[in-house]
Amino acid sequence: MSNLIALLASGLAVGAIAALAAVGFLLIYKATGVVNFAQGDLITLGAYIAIWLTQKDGAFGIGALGLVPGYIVTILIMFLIGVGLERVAYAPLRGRSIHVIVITTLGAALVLRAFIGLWQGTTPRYLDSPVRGDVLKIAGANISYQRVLVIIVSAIVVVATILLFQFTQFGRQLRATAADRDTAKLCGVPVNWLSMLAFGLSAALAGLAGILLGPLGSIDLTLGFNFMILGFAAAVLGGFGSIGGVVVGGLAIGLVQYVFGGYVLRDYNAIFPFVLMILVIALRPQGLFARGSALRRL
Amino acid sequence: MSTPRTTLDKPRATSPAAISPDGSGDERSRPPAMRGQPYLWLLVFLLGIALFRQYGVSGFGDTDLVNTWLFYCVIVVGFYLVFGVSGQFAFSQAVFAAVGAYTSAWATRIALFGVDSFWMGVLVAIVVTAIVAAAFAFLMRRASHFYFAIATLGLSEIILEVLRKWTAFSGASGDTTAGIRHISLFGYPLDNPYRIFWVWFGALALVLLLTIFLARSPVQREAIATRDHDMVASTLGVPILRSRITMFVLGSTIAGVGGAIFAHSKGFATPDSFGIDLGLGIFVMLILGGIDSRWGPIVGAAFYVFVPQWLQGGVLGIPGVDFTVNAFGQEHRLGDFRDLFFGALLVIVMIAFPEGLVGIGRRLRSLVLGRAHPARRTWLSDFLGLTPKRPRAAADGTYGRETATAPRPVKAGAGDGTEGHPASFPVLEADDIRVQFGGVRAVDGASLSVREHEILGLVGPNGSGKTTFLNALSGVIPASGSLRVRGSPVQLGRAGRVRPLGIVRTYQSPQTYEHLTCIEDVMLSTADRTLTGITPACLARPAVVRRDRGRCEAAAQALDRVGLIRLAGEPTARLSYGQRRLLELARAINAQPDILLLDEPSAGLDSSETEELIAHLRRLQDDGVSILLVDHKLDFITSLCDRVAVLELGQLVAVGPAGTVFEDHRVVDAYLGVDEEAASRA
Repeated sequence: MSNLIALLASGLAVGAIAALAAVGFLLIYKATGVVNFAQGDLITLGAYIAIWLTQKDGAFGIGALGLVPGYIVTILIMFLIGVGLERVAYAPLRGRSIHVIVITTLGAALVLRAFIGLWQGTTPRYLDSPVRGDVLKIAGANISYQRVLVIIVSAIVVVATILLFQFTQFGRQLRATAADRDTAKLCGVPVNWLSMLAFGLSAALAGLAGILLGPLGSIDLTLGFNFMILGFAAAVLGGFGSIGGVVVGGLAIGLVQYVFGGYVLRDYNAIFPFVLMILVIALRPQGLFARGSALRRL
Repeated sequence: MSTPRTTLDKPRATSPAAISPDGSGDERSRPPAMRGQPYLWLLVFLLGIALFRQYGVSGFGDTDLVNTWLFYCVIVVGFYLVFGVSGQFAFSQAVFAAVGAYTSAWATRIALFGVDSFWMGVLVAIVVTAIVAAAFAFLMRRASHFYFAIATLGLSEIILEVLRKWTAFSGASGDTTAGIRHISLFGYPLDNPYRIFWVWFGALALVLLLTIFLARSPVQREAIATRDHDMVASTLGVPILRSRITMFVLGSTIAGVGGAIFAHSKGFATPDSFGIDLGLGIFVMLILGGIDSRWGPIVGAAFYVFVPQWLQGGVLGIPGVDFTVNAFGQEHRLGDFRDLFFGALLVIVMIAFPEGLVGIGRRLRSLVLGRAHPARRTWLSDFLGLTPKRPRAAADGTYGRETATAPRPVKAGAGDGTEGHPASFPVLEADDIRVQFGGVRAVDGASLSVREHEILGLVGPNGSGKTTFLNALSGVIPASGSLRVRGSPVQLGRAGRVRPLGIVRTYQSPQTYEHLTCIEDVMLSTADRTLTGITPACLARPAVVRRDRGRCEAAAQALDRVGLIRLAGEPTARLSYGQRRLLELARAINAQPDILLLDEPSAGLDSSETEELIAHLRRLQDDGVSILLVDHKLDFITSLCDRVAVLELGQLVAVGPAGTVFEDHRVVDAYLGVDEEAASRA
């Protein structure tokens, strides 16, 4: 029983981060139709910026910011980086096909990763957390507070994103821009600002994911890329496009990895999310839950 | 850097996208892909690197670097087949190298079949890689480009994780599998970089030879057709699933062989050396080198391997740039910026010169030789929407002036016994065809039969479902109902099912292949599908070449018949709109159809061109072909068609001779709208 609860908590936490990563790139996908392959490396970058801001040998010799202020500054910096990415790697290519932008984001991913490698070196680093070391005991299972924090924050962010998309003027404008940029522009939607904002928010979410993910283990250059692929899996399971679907997809991969993988072929539990994803693509490309295909243009 | 330079002089004719426009009809029996001297260039290249190995390289270090280059060459040539020729977005090339490496290491370690030689290991590696790749490609057969890409990323994660964990297979202690048996040849150990070089040399020679074989056979042509427009290829009779899976398996297996040689030459392997970094690197090498040429991988890999080394302080005896840059408080040599540099370069190449370094070489050569510039485009740049707009003007205004000579017989239908009763026997019977798009019933229970030797016109107002009806009959969209061709039922919703029954179609906007020449485009539709696979392409060269020459001659006749023979060797991208319509017609004629489905054949043609079209269609009818055509021009329809069918809102409202049908009040109402008042009074 305690084992099952611990596995459930791990599964939920991984699923939550996958969902968070997926929400990050779905935000851009829904606003611009682009799948940003640099999202994973933005997650990595977020984790490293947080380290840089909060550790003693970090930024500009100021010394450490407090953990929570450091996190907040990280998210702000990531927002600006996202806006910058939009200006450099997306805005000049607007009007080109989606695929050229996708390959460009691959290039951006390479550049980001190489930059982090030059900046922080390639040895694994560790990020501190306000709840480090604390564990929650439920029915004999020890669950680290970090995992609980991950689950709660992800839930809040996902709900906020859904509300943002469905019930605000900003969300309507984003969806209109994604559906038809030119028509949206003619209707007075400030499309340039919107796409900058979408990239900024998406990068901020990536930064948040990096901050939440960081304290769970060590941080290296491939951290974010691996989670981005998990995010892809979550998005595919959810039918690629619906944010609600991503949550269910994220939970599905988290649970299949830890709960199913906790009992069957335990050593190989990391492959189950991808096996599930490949099966879904092969058998139900519209996603596990959707009726029609939500995958447009790609 | 003398080696890559020879590769820049590659013969242009090896790449269909860049064939020089010399097809003036005098070389009718030689498909454009069979011109040029690729074997000669391959020999020159191999001789070049052999001499280079002998006299240009000193020291194990440099030889090792050359070997790394050759390793990349091999796996990127494999990727050229998967991505360049077949257009499949795969990130899995690196991981298939891992599969090959570990399988071979395992097979030699446990001495499978009682043999522990590398050569047995590599054979097992080939079989295992091919099985894994084929299973994956089959599972992904319906995936879109983007989903395919994501799935290959997932596959990479799965395989690398399995290799990390399954130590019984990998034989690893920690991360590293050590003690992998060195390669030996007839008892002679190839255990240092100088000797390993020859293994790579042989592997690359074989792989490049394979690409030449594929280019000089129907395989590459059909892969390109599948890549650029799979639905059209399918209706022309190209087996698109086979083409995709074959190319994916072939390219991945080449990676497996490369991986096996790599592991055995190093003596050890780690999963991470085949990780996503190599996966992305393979992408960079191919796009950088040139995506539409077999020499692209060679040049791209050379750039990828040698330039950073040169920036690091010299390579192969060439003194390099050697200074350090202070970044983030550390001294960095320029080579440390490698990935930064390649990431940026990937973007720049994609945007500024999609044809890569090989393409730049081609342009320089044509500049020096004073020839016309080859087209600055690849299938990828078209796909990505980066190619400038096509010039609309005809490359040669003389089409149609050279009217065809005596009529050549087209195959006279399978129903030779029915000659006694022309225009009575139905060859195609469509019953209760329904097509639904969401809530819209585009075709709503239409039934229609086409009789032997007749030309049946299908008309109707815009949006009445005419094109959708043709799409349903040719299987390119899902539809319900029943379809019989000469009495035998055909499954709907599957493109490619009707072509073997002799049904060929054209499209509303002409669908020609911009990266093939006219003659190759026409050859695609051939009814002769013998010896089109890769096995004969590799093992039965003379027979394949003979067959393809036959197809080329037949295609030239079809081109001659529509008056396009002078443009046979031109890329179809140079044709005007009207010429592309004629090319489609030639393609249909070359297919020796029994039933022809034409979608607005007269659209965009002027009156004299329409006259010619009518003459062509009459001749086809005389040859025994039954024709169903959709069109808007009523005078064209009336002057050509034996019967006319009228479609309105997805339903058939009238069928019969043109005169009576156009008198029918329902038809008049369909076109002109109903006079509500008159209707209510009546």
